[in-house]
Amino acid sequence: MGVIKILFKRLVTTLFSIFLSITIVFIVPRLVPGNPIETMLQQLYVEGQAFQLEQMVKEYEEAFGLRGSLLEQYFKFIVQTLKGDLGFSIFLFPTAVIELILRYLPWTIGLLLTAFILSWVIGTLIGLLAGWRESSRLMQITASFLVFIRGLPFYILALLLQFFFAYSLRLFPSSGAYSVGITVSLSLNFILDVMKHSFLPALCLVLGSVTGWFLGMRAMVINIKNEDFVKFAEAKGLRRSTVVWSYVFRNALLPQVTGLSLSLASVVGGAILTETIFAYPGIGTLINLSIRRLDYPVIQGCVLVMILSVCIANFVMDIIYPLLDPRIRYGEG
Amino acid sequence: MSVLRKLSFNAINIKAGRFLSNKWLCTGLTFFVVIIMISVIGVILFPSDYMRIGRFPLERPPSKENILGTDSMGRDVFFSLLMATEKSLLVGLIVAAVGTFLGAIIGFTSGYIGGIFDSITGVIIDFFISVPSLLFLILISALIKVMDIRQVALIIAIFSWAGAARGVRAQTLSLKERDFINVSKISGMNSMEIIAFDIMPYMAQWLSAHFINSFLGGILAESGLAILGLSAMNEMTLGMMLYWSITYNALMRGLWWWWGSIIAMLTLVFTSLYMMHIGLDKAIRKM
Amino acid sequence: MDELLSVKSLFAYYETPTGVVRAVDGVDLRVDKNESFGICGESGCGKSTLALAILKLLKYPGYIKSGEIIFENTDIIKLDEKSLREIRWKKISYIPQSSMNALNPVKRIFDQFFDVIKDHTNGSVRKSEVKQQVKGLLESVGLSPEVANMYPCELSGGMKQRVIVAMSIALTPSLIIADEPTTALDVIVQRGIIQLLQDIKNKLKNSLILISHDMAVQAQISDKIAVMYAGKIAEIGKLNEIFHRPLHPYTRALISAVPLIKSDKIIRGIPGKPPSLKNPPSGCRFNPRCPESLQGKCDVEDPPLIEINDDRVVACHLYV
Repeated sequence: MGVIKILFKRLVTTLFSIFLSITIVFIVPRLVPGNPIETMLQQLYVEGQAFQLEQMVKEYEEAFGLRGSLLEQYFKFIVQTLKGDLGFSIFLFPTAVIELILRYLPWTIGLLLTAFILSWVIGTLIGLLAGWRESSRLMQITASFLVFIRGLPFYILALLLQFFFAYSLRLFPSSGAYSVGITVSLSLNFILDVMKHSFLPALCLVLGSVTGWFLGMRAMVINIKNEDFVKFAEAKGLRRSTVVWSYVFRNALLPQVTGLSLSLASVVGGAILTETIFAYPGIGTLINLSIRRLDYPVIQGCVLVMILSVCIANFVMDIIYPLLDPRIRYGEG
Repeated sequence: MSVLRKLSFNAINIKAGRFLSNKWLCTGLTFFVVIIMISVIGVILFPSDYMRIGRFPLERPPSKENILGTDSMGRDVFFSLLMATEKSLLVGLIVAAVGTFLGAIIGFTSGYIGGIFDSITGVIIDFFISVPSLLFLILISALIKVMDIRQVALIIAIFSWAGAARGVRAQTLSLKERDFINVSKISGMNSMEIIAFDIMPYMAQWLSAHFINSFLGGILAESGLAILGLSAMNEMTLGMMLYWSITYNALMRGLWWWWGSIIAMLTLVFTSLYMMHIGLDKAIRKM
Repeated sequence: MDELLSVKSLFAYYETPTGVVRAVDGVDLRVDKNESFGICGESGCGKSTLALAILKLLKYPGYIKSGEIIFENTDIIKLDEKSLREIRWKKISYIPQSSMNALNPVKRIFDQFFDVIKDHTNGSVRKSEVKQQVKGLLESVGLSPEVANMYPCELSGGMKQRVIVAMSIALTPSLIIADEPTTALDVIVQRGIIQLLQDIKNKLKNSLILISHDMAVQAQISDKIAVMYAGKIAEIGKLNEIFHRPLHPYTRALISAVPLIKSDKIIRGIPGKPPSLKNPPSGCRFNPRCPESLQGKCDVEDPPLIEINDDRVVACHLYV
């Protein structure tokens, strides 16, 4: 069956991506001459924060598993990563990197998932509306305006939002995930507080992505409206709602789904910077902190986790598409 | 050399005819050229010690002496802005040039050779496109402390070749499919002419659009790294200026002349580049 | 009255940046019950526009300028969307020119039938009730009932065409408009489709408007034929009359261009090109290419539609 073949192909590609990612992450610290731990500690040493370098290097080497030939290290690295062992933090030794990450990751996932899905749904639906009623002059002007905004990076949006809503209007807090001193619990109070803090970062990500989805869907709907099968559907006297949803929407949806994979890469990058600007306690902030603390293993761990997550997410999204388009499953005619 | 003569005529005709009617392209290009001119002239005219730390009183709003005020380290914001713009544009240029060039070569070679080599390269290209390159850049920059902005640009370029490679590879593969050696024999055109008239104009336009895109992406990536403090700390780019303003919490402390002008300039740069990109994109559609 | 559809002075134009295209420029015709009415003419003479206009399906930049389309005592042009939906498919169905793309690529054939039936039924319909009906429809066009579960991309061109024919009879309409149903199909499949349309007409006693530039196809199935030229009617008559005693010079040229297997007839093409519908020639549209054109009359005055008898009209100065 066509579906299994496609699934298999996607699986192979994803596994390849995963291994390629792990390999690149493995190679980077080894590009600099010398031992990776030496290099990492070198920074600290230069900054005057490490003493007795050689002793430290030996101990860390033991802890970070850097004994053995390059090939041995490589395989050990792969196995460790897949098991979830990402080494130890230098700054907060002996805290395991994975422990740190798991503390920060849920915030990022929450933010990303909400923003990503929300912007896709909103953009697609409004795009459908705009495409269907394309003749409206207002829509055309709005579309042109939105194209302008599309070129702007997330961090500019973040700063502008911070300025208008947090600084000028003081409607929302400018940083953090919840207020200082509030008790962490599942109470309504806490949840509302979290939502208030998450609003601006989420808004930033949504605004940044929604234009893309909107413009794409609108263009697609305008195209599809003129297709033969839509005209035929109208000739058949089908209800307007049937034509719009079953015929136009279902077909215009396909490229929107394809675009998900590509969009994820830019949203993740944007999310990291947005979190930094809003001091939102997600992976972005962890990376930022680790950069300042020269805690390289944590940076490495974060990058690895994020990239692997993206690979897996892409895999999931790649499977959805054949389910929606029978032409892929059965091959054209 | 009649092919070359015909080719240059063709190219000039195509460009001149469509160029002026392409609103997006023209507006974007105008803004962009203005930006370049201002920054280059500014850099030449102003004395370089305006960038010295402590040259001026700290955090002063716009005045007669400092048109855009001073930042938290006593530097003149206006002059810093011009320098930074010039540096950022340089980064964009390096990334776009190296990335597009590299990508085109890799794409063409892969498509030309074909077979398993091409299949594997295809997967690698898709990988680099679908993965957030910022993450890899963070990884590399965190470890390899770079001092020169040009090195930063090169590192970014390493991750920006994939887009050009994909386009060129696709075109090369379809070229092979079309069996155009036979077509050239049948149609009476020789292969050089087919490449020159059929493929080159399309590829040239596509590569230009991609070049602009890479330019934009390069500035974007560098500024992203700079905000995290991973760019060349000794150089001043627009991203670095943002970094300093965030470090000194300029926004929440009301130093609007500082962070505001950076944002304005960045917006101008990105918008003009994006408009040029759209203009070229539209022109391709009409081909 | 045997009359089913009556088109009176229909004008349908297209607005383009370079001018108005007068695709249907004053057409009168009448289709009776249980009659096969063929419309033929060169490509670009306005046949398809006429078909779309009858169903009021013209979309921007096309529009109906003026005229009446009387169907069952109502002027279709004056109907609103809701009433139009009542007529569309239930009373008048349409087999489009390019059946290749007329089906929704992401829905199964059964679902597309179900859509039509459901949207024309007041109240709710269940899929199980419709299954039998769809099976019967598919079988009546010579397709296996398994087709219902397939997607359009799994079917061949001929199969897709048959599915569309099956769909067009699903609500037993009184008029079926078939726009070039046999173009883009090979001769054997063509024969099958024509036979199919014939069988349907015999069973359902519906009227059929068959639009085709292929005179051979018209000869197989049509009772009456209307010859169109440059947006106007040149001649209308019974099949035999048109073929054996064509009146309009254009018709004569058309008939003489049809090859006959048994004879050594010399086939003549019609010299010249079809006229531009933006700037049609003055007077009779055909006069630049007409071998019997009367100088001073045909190039100045537009010939009126002359009724020779109840079933015969011709627009030519030769018969005034």
